[in-house]
Parts: sequence; C-alpha cells; structure tokens
Amino acid sequence: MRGTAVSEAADLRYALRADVAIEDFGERALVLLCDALELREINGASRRILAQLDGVRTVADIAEKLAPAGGGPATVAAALREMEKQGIVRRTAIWTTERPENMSDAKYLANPDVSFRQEDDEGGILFHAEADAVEVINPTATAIWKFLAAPRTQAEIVAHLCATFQGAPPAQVAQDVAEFIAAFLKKGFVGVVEASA
Amino acid sequence: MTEPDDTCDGLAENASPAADLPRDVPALKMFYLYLSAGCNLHCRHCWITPTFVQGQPVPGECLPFDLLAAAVAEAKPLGLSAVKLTGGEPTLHPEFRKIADFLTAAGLDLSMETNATLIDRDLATHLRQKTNLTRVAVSLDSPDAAQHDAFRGRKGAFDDAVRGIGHLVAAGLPPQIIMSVHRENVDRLEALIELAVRLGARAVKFNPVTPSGRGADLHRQGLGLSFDELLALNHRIRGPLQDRHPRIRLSAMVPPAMASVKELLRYGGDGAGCNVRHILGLLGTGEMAMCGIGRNVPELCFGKLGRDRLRDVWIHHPVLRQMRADLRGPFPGVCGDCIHAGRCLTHCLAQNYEAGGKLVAPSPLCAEAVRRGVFPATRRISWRGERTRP
Repeated sequence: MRGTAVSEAADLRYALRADVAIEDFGERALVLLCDALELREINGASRRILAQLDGVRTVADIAEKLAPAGGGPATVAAALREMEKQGIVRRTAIWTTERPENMSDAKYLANPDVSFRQEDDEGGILFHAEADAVEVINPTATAIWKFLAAPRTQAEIVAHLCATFQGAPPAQVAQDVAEFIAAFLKKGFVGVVEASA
Repeated sequence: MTEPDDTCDGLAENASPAADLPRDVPALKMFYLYLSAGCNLHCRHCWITPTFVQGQPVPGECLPFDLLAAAVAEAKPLGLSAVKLTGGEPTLHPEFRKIADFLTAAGLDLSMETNATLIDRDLATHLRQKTNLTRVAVSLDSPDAAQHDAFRGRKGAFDDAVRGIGHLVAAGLPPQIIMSVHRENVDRLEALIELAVRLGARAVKFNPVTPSGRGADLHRQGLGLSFDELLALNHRIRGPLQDRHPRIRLSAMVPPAMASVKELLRYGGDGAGCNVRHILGLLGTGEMAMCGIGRNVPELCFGKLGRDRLRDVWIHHPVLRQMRADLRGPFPGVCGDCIHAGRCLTHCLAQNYEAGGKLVAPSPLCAEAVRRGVFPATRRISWRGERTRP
C-alpha cells in the first residue's frame, strides 16, 4: 500500500527504514534490506541523501544540508521517492496521537510502524511492535485501516466504507468510524496528520 | 469481550488494590484455595489426584481454618482481592461455610470449582445470599449419566451433580459447566451444551484432559486428544458450536496464536492470558504452591503456612522470582517470535511444566504446531508480509 503525498514536496519527511544496512563502494553503495534479504544499488547522490537521514528529516532540511551541490528540493524529493519505492527509506507524516480539537476536520493516518496481517475474510491483526500491542480487527475495521494508508478525514472514511459495503446505513457507519478513530488514536495505532502536512 | 469464565482464574485485570510490595514483585491478587485434598469422586482424568473418600463426605487433608485466616491477614496487604475455592471437593471441608463466610467478611470476591454433588438447597441459598460467591463452575463430563458416572468413578454422581446444579440455579447462582474432554466423550459436546442450557447453566467450558495426575493414565490408554483433534475441538467450540448456541457462553482455553481471527474477535482479542503472576495456591496440607500443580510436583511448593511467612515466600522464593523474570521476556522458543506472547505469557504454566519441566516455555500446543510447521506465520513477529506504509 502506498500513500499519497501529504504536503508540498519540501515538507515531506523521511526516515531510513530500520532494517537496512549500507555498504559503501566508492561513490556508490549497496543497501541490504535485511528483512527481505535483498540488495539495492544506489548512486552517489542517493548515498549523500541517506547520510543526512539521521532520524526523521524533511526534504527541505536535506536539500539545505546538501546545497548547493545537492540539486535542490525537487531532486532530493525525487531521489527519496525512488528509494521509498525500493524499500530503503520510509516517508513519515507529521503526525501525532494527540486527540485533535476538531475530530471531524482532522486527517488521520495509520501508524507506519504497525504491521497488518490479514488472515481470512473475517478480518486481520494489527501488531505494534514498539508497544508490543495487538489489535484484532473485523472486516470493516480492516477496510478503514487499509484506507488510512493515506491521510483521511472521517467523512472520507465514511464515504469509502459506504461505497465498499453497499447498503450500510451512513449514520451507523459514521458512528463506527468515529469510535474506531477515537479508540485507535488513544492506543497509538492511528495518528493525526498536522495541518502543515 | 473476554469474560472471567474464559480464563482459568476468573480474575479481572484491575481487581486488586495497591499492594505493599517491592516494585518488581506483582500484587498477590488471588488464592487458589485447595480446601480439601480429598474428594468424594474418583475421576479417571483428575489432574489433582485427590484422596478418594468413599461414599461419605469425609474430607481428606483439610486446610485448617486458623492457618487460612492468618494467610488472608498476611496476603491482604499484598493485594489479595479474590479467592477460588477448589479442591479436591471444597465442600468436603468440615468448616466450608465458616470459611466462605470468613472470606466474605474479609471483603474478598469468591469463585468455586465443585462437583456439586454435595450442594443442597440450603447451602446454595446460603452461598448466594450470605457470601461474596458469584461464580461457580461444576464438572459435568457427559449428558449421559452412565458415561459421566464411569468417568467420575461413582454411580449416582451424575444425578447428584444435576441436582446440585438445580439448587445453584434456583438460588441465583447459575453455574458454568466444565466438561473434561477426551476421546470417549468428544462426540457428546453438543448434547452436553443442550443439557447445560436445559439446566440453566450460564456457560460451558471445555478442558481437554491433560497428561497430568490421573490424566496421564488416560493418555497412556490412548484416550487423550491428539494435536489435530485438539485444534479441531477448539475451533469447533469457539466457532460453529458457539454460532449455534448463542445464548450460552462457550469457551476453551487455547493459546491465542492458535485461534483464528474470528475466534479472537469473539473472545475479546488476545488479552485473556493466565494471571499466574498474581496467584498463589494454598493446598489442603497448608503448603503454598504454584496454583494446584504443587500437589503433584513438590518442587513447585514454596513453603508451608504456619512455618513460613507468606510475604517472604511471595517476595523471595527463587521459583517465583525466576518465573517473574522469565515472564518479563524475552520469551523462549516460538514465544520469542510470537506477537501474542506479552499477553499469552506462554499460556498455562502448569501444563508447560508437566510437558517439559519448565514453567515459562512454549505451550505444548504451540510447540507441536512449530514441530509440524503449522504455527501460523502471521502470528510471528518476524513475519514479512504486507506492511502498512503510509
């Protein structure tokens, strides 16, 4: 599942994935994706970008650090997008698990550190490794979870569910969504994307 | 949601007040009170192997009231809030009522496991009206009297149990029925559920006979359930049987890793693990033990009431300290790679010990699943399937 862009390119935030190891070979480098046991080769420009990813950094931050040779935010953003596709970096939204003042207007996003495990049509399991927490979710919650791969408002989630589950009463769906968001926000499985994102 | 009946202990997570203990020592929330080491039945599969008391309700070794009273006084500052009355047959204790009344006056929540054969109208009414007893579990292994009696080792046990259940229901204490499942009665599950409904029981729990105590003989005779039968049994109980009998709660203790998503949803997620960290068994002999397994396994007895201070035992006994350390993880074997381990806590420590001599170890069911290559990959922390990448 891939999310959509959550802000202008310069504001996008990235982090090195936790399961990668980098071996330099002159200008280039090999990246070992330890979980997948796969290798990726990256060029010198991408390697210099990775050198700046000591934590979560915005595209603008990295571009500024690499200036003037780095090529500017657009170049950095393109390289990061490519490395995200390769599983080397992950994009992180500016998000918080604080309950927003206005639940209706806020945009919500699935916690990228939570893994989803679908087993059958009955639903699936969410595992938050850092918190050592498990949530077992039914098919409706599964649909919500998948939809939250990108930032969504509650209204967007309700519309998506009503389109997915034909005949579901919108008022009931809205209530279910509100309860899901409130519960999963509290548990840290879902975050709120801040307005600037 | 997970209900107390679904677990071995029936102990609510938040049931205990703050305890006066070092930070790394959990509250002692519950006694498993093996009031009598004797029983008036001689069940072929009993894991406790109580002394058989032929016919008359003469107790075997009984926990002296004064020792119990002193133990309660010692344990309350440690967080004691609940007691499970069990045995042997707890009602065989000559001071059973006095004990129930005393524990009630001490403000403790009570539950009880009984064969119900000695429960009459007066006792049931007393327990309901005068004590804190809220949950009773009654053993009933078959809807067929002859089959039940054969396994319980006494003719008339079925009729006596059904009569006792009737008194409990009439008094307002509808019990949970516990069926010990083995190869000879595994085809009677649904009939037993229907009987439980007719009798007014509120729940049925299915405990496969384990190779402990007399159950070991049953397994040697080939009457224990195989791995495949156990899995099928658990799925059947928590799936189609519960679907067909929605008005009565059915449960089977199974490690959450071996339960389907539907079953986990039905039973409130994976949070119904053993509360063994908060439980101390008191045997009829006055020994303090790991739940009831201490009766069969002397090394899991930690001291004796009247001779050793309960507080010292709870805080310092090396077996308890080691168990607590082990339960903090990392967990051994497949549990170290299981997403449920933090709640499951390796499931039933008594069964683990019987199976392999270690308390904190993969449950026999999970270990066998690993050996057969059928442990669900999606329950492993190391699983590398679909990941959410916003």
